[in-house]
Amino acid sequence: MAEYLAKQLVASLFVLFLVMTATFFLVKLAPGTLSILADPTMDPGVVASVERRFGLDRPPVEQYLRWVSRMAQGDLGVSLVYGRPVIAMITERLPATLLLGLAALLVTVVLGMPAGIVAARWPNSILDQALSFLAIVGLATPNFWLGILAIILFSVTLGWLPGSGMQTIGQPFSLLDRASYLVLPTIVLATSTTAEIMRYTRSSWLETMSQDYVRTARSKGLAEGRVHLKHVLKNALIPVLTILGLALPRLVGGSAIVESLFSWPGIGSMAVNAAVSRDATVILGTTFFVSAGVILSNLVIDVLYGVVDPRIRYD
Amino acid sequence: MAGGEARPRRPGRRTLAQVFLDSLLRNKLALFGTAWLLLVCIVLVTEPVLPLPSPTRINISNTFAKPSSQHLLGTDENGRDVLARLIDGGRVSILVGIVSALLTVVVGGTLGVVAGYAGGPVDRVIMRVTDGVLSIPVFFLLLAVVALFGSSITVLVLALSFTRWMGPARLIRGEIMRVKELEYATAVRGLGAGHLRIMFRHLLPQAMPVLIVATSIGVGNVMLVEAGLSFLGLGIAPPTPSWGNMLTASQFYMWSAPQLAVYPGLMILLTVLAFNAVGDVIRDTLDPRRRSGG
Repeated sequence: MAEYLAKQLVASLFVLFLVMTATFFLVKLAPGTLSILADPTMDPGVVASVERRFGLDRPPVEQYLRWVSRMAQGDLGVSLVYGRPVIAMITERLPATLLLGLAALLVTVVLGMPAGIVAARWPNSILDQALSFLAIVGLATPNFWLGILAIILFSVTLGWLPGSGMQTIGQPFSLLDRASYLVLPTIVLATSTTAEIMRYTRSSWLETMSQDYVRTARSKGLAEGRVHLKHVLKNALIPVLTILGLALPRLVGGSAIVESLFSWPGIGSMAVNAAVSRDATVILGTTFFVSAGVILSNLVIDVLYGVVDPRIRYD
Repeated sequence: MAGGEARPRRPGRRTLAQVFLDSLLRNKLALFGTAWLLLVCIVLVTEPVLPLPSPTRINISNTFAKPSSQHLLGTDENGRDVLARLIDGGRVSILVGIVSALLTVVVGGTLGVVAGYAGGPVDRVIMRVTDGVLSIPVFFLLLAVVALFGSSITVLVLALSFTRWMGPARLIRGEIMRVKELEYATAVRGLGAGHLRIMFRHLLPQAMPVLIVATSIGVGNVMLVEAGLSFLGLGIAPPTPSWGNMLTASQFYMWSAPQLAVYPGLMILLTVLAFNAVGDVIRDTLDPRRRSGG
C-alpha cells in the first residue's frame, strides 16, 4: 500500500509540475510581456523598470525556476487589474465555488449512479432506452444554453427561482434563500456529468453482469434482485470511482460558464472576467489553483480506489 | 427450419456499406443524425444561392420582427435576419469543429502511434503526460490562452486541438499495441521496413476506425467548447456570427425575445447529437467485434 501511495503521489506532483511548465510557456510565448498586457501605452522606460522588478530581464531558465518555486509556495502574483494578491482573491471566492461544485457533485452521484443501475438492471427496456436517450441528449446540450432556457422558464416566466446571484440583496442570510439561488446553477452544472456517470455506471454494470461469478450466483438459484444487490453492486461501482475523478475537470471547467451565466461569485466567474479583461496573473493563478485542486481530489480518489480494490494495490 | 432461406446470415460476407445501412436503420437516432448532417451540408453549400437577406446587415427600424415571408425566423436585436445568421454562424461553428477535431486526431494519433509502437520508457512518458493533461480542467487553460493570445479563429482552433488530443491518443495507442503483434506486422518488419514506414504505412491504417470515430465525436465536443467560449465573449467575435456568440446577445433579451435564445442552442444540440450518433454507428460498422452482436 505504501508503494502504491508513493506512486500516486509522484504522479500527482508530476502533473502539477506539468501545469506550472505549461503556464510558464504560455506567458513566455504570448505576444508582449505581462507589463505591456496591463497597459499598452506604457512608457518604454517604465516597462524596463517593471520588467526588472519582476525579474523579466533574467535568463529564461532562472525565470522558469523562480516561477516554479513561487507557484509551489502558493505565491500566484498580483492582479494586473486590481493590484491585489491573486491567492487572496481566490480564497475569498473559494467557498462559493465549493458550494456549487459539491452540490453538483452530489446531484451527479445521487441521480447518475441510480439511473445507470436502473438502466442496466432492465437492459433494452423502455426505461433503459428513455434514460439512455436522456443521457445522450444531456451530453450534447451546451450547458449555458440549458442555463438560459432554465432562467427564461423558471425565473422570467414562472418566477419560481432566482436566476442570478447568490442571495437576495438586502436580506439577512438564510438557508432557504441560499438554497433557492443554488437550485438552477447546480442542475445546469450537473447535467453533463450526470449523463456521463449514468452511461458509465450502466456499461460497467452490464460488464460485471457477464462475469463468471455472477453466472455462478444465478445458477445456484439466487433471485435476480439479490444477484444485482449482493454480487454486482460492489464490483460494478469500483470503476465508476475513476470516472468520477475524470468528471471533476469537466465539473470545474463547466463552473466557469455556469458561474458567469448565473452571476455566481465564485472562482469560475472570476476567471472568465479576468480572461475578458486580460488579467494574465489572475487567469494563470486560477488555472494553477483549480488544477492543483482537481489533482489533489484525484489523488484522494486513487487512494480510495486502492482501498476498495485490492487488485490495484498489488499491481 | 425448412428451405434454404433459413441458412444463418454470415455477417462477414456483407459489404461495409450494407453493414452501415443496417445499423443505421436499426438506430433511429443515427438515422436522424445522418439526415440532419446531410441537410446542414446542403444548406451550407447552397447558402450563396439561397434567397436570404444578409446575415450582417443591421436594420434598426425592424428589430425583433416576428417571422414573416421576408424573415422566416424573424430578426434579432439589430434587425438582422435570424435564419441567415443561423446558417452563417453554423458554417463558422462547424468549420472550427471539424478543423480542430482533425487536428486533435493528428496530434493525438501521432503521439498514440509512437507510444504504442515504441513501448517502454517512451510509452510511459507519453502516457503519463496524457493522463496528466486529462486530469487538468483544460477549460481554464483555454481561458488563459485566449486571454494571452487573443481569440482569433487560428488561436481558437490550435488551442482547442492542443487541449483535447488525450482521448484519441489513448484510443489509438491501444489499437497500435494490439495490431503491432500481429503476423503481418512481424512480416513487414522482417522485410526490413523502417520504423516510420511500419508505424504510419502499415499500423496506422489498422487504427483507422478508431480515428474516424474519434474525429466524429471530437467535432461535437469541440463545437460545445467553442460555443461556450464564444458565449462568454472569448471565442469567435462579433460581427462574425457563431451559434455561441448569438446566444451571448440573446441573454440580454430573455424577457422581450426569448425565441432568440432557442434557435442557436437548438442548432448546437442537434448538430452535436448528430455527430455523436453518426460516430457511434461508424464504430459499430467498422468494428468487426461489435458487428456480430445485436
